[in-house]
Amino acid sequence: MRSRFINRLAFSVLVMLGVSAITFLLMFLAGDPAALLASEDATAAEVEAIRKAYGFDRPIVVQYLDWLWHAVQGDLGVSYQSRRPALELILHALPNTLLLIACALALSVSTGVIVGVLAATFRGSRFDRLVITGSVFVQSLPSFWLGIVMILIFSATLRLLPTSGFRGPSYLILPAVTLATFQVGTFARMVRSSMLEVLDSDFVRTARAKGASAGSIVFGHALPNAALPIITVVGLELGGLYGGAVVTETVFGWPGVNTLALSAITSRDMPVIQAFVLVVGILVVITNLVIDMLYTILDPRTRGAR
Amino acid sequence: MSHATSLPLRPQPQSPSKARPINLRLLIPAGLLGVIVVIACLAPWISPYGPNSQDLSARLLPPLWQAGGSTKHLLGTDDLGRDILTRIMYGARVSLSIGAIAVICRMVSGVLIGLVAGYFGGPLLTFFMRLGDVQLALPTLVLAIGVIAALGPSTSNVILVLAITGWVLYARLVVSQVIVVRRQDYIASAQLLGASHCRIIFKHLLPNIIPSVIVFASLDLGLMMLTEGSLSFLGLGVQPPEPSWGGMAAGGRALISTAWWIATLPGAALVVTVALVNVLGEQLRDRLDPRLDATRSA
Repeated sequence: MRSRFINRLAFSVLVMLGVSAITFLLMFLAGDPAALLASEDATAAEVEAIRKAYGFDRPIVVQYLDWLWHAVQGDLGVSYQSRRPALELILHALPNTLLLIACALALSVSTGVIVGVLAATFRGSRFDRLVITGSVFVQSLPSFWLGIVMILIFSATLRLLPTSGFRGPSYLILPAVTLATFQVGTFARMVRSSMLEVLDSDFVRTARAKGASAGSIVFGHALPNAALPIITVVGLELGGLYGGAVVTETVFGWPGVNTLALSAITSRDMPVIQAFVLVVGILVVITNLVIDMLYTILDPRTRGAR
Repeated sequence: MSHATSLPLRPQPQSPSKARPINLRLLIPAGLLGVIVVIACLAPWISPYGPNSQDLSARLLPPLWQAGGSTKHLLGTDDLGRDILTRIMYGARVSLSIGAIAVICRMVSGVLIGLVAGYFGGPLLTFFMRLGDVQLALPTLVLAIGVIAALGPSTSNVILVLAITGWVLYARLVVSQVIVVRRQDYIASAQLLGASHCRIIFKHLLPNIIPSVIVFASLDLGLMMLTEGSLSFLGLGVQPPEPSWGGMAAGGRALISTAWWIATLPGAALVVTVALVNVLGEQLRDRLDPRLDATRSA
C-alpha cells in the first residue's frame, strides 16, 4: 500500500508541474508581457527597458524555472491593478469559495444519497422513474438561470433571502442550493445504480435468506458497500463544482476567488489570473490525491492490488 | 473538468435486432429539437423584427399573458425595446451552432489523438494521457478564464477553449476501446496482409469505436451548450449586442425585480433545448451502446 501512495504522490507532483507550466504559458498567450506592463503611450525603447528589467528577454525555459522557483516560495508576482501580491489576493478570497463549495457538496451528496437509496429500494416504482427523469432535467439546468430564478422567487417576490454578498449564514443558502442542484442528479443516479448492484449481490441474498429486516439490509449491508463509489464520483465532480462556483459566485455577488478572477480579466491582470489558475489546479490535484488515498484505506479490496 | 457515472436507464435489450418498433421516446425529443433547429434557421423570415432593432417607445413591455402585454411582442421587450422572442430565436442559432462546432472540434481532435496514440501505444500514448491528466486538473471554466483573459473574449475563443478542454475525454474513450480491439486476430491478419497503419486505423479501428463516440458526443452537446451559455453570461463568450441566451440573461439580471422576463426567458429556452438534447442522448445510448458510462464534464 505504501508504494501505491508514493506512486500517487509522485504522479500528483508531476501533474502539478504540468499545471504550473500551463499557468506560466498563459502569460505569453496574452501577447508581449513587456508591452502589457508598459503604459499605453510607451516608446519602443521604454518597452525594451521593461523587457530587460523584468527579464522577459531570457530564454523561455529559464524564465519558467525562475517563475517556478518564485512560485514555490509563494511569490506569483504583483497585481497590476492593486499592486498587492497576487497570491495574497487569491488566498484572501479562497475561504469564501471553499465554504460555498463545501456546503454545496454536503447538500448534494446528502440529497443524492437519500434519493438514490429510495429509488433503488423501490426499483421500478413511480418514484424511481421520477428520479431518473428528474436527474436528466436537473442536468439541463444552467447555474446562471437557476440562480436568477431563485433570486426572482426567494428574494424579489417572497423577500425571504438576501440576493448578493456575504454578511451572514442566510446569504449562503441560495448560492449553495444553486451550486448543489447540478450535482444532485449525478449523485442520485450513481447511488441508485451502485445500490442496485449491491442489492443483487449474493451476500444481500444471504442476508435476506437469514431473515434480516429490510432496513438492516438497506442500511446495514447494502449502503456501506454502495457508498464507496460515491467517494470516487465526488472526486470526479470536483472540477464541475469549481466551474459551477464561477457562475454561482457571479450571480450572487459572492466574494470568492472566481469573482476576483473575473474582475481581473477586464484589466488583463495576468498575475492574479495566473495565481487563480494555479491555486485551483493544485487544489483539484490535492483533493483527488486525498480521495484516492481515502478510497485505498476504506476499500479492503484495493489493499493487495497496485 | 469532471465526470459522472450514470447507468443506462433500461437494461440492455435482449436481442439487438435491427427491426425494432419505432421508439416514440426517441422520435418525440428528436422532432421537438428539429422544430427548434428549423425556427433557429428561419428566424429572419419568421420574425418581423431584427435581433438588434430597438423601439424605445415599446421599452420593457411584459409578455402577452401579463397585464400590459401586447400581441406585437409575444414575450415582451427589453430595456432597449428589443423583441425578446426574436432575440431568443436568434440566440438559438448562436447556442446550437457554437455547441455543434465545439462538439465536432472536440470529437475530431480527441478521436484522432485517441486512435493514433492507442494504436501505436508506447511513449506517444503516455505523453497524451499525461497531458490529459494535467488538463483534467483544470476545470473547463477555470481554464477558460485563463485563456480568455489572455486572448480576449470572442466567439472563436469560446470554441477554442471548449475544443482544447474537451479532446481528453474523447481521446480516453477511444484509447480504452482501441487497446482492446487492436489485440484481436483480424487486426493481426490485416497487418500480415500488408495493410498500412493508416488503413488499419481508419478502416478497421475507426468503425469499431464510432457508435460509442456518437453516443458520447450527443451527451456532450448539451453540456457544451450549457458551457457556452455560462461563458456568455460571464461576459467571456459571445459579446453583446449579438443575441446569445447567456448574454441576454446577464443583461436582464439588474432588472429582475421589475422585468423578470428579460433574464429568465432566454435561460428557459436553453433549459428546454438542453433537456431535449440530453433526453435524445440518453435514448441514443440505450439503443447504440447501453454499456457506455457517460463521462460528463462541466
